[in-house]
Amino acid sequence: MVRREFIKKLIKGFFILTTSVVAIITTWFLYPTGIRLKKYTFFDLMDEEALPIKGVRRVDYLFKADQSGAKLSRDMAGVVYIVNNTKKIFALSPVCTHLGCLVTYNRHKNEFICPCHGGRYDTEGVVLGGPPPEPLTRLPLTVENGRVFVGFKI
Amino acid sequence: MGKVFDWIDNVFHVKKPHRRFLKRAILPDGLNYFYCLGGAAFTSYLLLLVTGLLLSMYYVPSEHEAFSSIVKIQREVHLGWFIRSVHKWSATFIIVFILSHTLRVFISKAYSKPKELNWVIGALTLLFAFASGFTGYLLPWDQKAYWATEVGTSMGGTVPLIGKHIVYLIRGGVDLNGATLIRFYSMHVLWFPLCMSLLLWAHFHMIKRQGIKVNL
Ligand code: HEM
Ligand code: FES
Repeated sequence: MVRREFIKKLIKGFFILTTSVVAIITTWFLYPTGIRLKKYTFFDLMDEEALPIKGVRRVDYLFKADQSGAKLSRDMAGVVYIVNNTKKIFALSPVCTHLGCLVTYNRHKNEFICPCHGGRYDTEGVVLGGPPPEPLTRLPLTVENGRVFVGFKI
Repeated sequence: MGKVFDWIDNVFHVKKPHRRFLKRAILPDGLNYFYCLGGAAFTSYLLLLVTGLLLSMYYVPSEHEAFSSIVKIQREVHLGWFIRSVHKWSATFIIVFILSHTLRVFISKAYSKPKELNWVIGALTLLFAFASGFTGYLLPWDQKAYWATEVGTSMGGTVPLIGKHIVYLIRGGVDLNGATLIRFYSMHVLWFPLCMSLLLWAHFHMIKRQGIKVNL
């Protein structure tokens, strides 16, 4: 009887072991590879002349992978807002800090508005209302030799 | 029909041992139409299964072709617009029916002993229906699909400590892209229907065993 009990325990233990191993392998298999921290990388956005003198300017960009000097593995297109509050010029990412939709600038209200759950930000990126927990992200911006460079997280 | 079945059953022998089961009356007195809601949900499920299997013959789960294959289903495929509509409407109705069925079960206290397990199975089915709706919504790969999924998957990130990893796991990467589409497609057409079929089998098996509760 002692032996039977032992073998029963053994089989049970083996079953639990197999199940756990399968669960771990499955999760590991499904967990994506190639994950690394995204770093700010500067891209030549536009001419210095195109900077707004006052207020908000929307800039649509398209960076070609084959012209990016191996920085990009695929073309990258998107929108960035350049703001001049007459004291400082900075770049605002349009990615809403709530759940990641893209905000748009509303000229009449002079606010950034998120289409998804109505998050509102002023032209400094500060939250005015709605669910966003944090202000819009400021992207690093520099001007060199008459060109504007903006850092995007890739 | 009966003859063919009998010929098969000569070998299979399923009829006799299951007779008690198949022939037993499980419908007590005092039922009303609210007791049809579960059946209505199941009917929606069957419609989803059939139309979904049809759609999967034309739908291409790839970043570059998903949207155009949907447009093709909608415009070119014979009755494509119809099959797609039935799939969409059934997806909406299955949620409505499961929820109202749950309400009926709750009101008639049919979750109470000894039927707790069937309540749990039912709740799991509802979760799988939600998950199917969520993954299916991405498949057309248009703006609405993309942003809805961006928002939906980002919610995983609010889980303390492991939130980030949950998001990576669901998306199959840091960002939402073609890898997410394939992942969602696989879950939507293979994993979830399989799980739901097993759950529903268990659900109905227990109803046959335990009967239906009427006394309000
Ligand atoms: C049971 C087997 C199922 C299969 C094989 C299946 C298959 C498919 C396929 C191939 C598509 C892409 C085509 C299209 O978007 O029109 C799709 C879309 C979709 N599915 Fe399913 N599906 C199943 C069940 C479900 C269930 C249970 C639900 C929801 C409760 C659901 C909800 C959706 C939704 C919302 C879409 C997007 C429809 C659209 O935007 O047109 N599906 N499904
Ligand atoms: S994602 Fe912008 S308000 Fe929710």
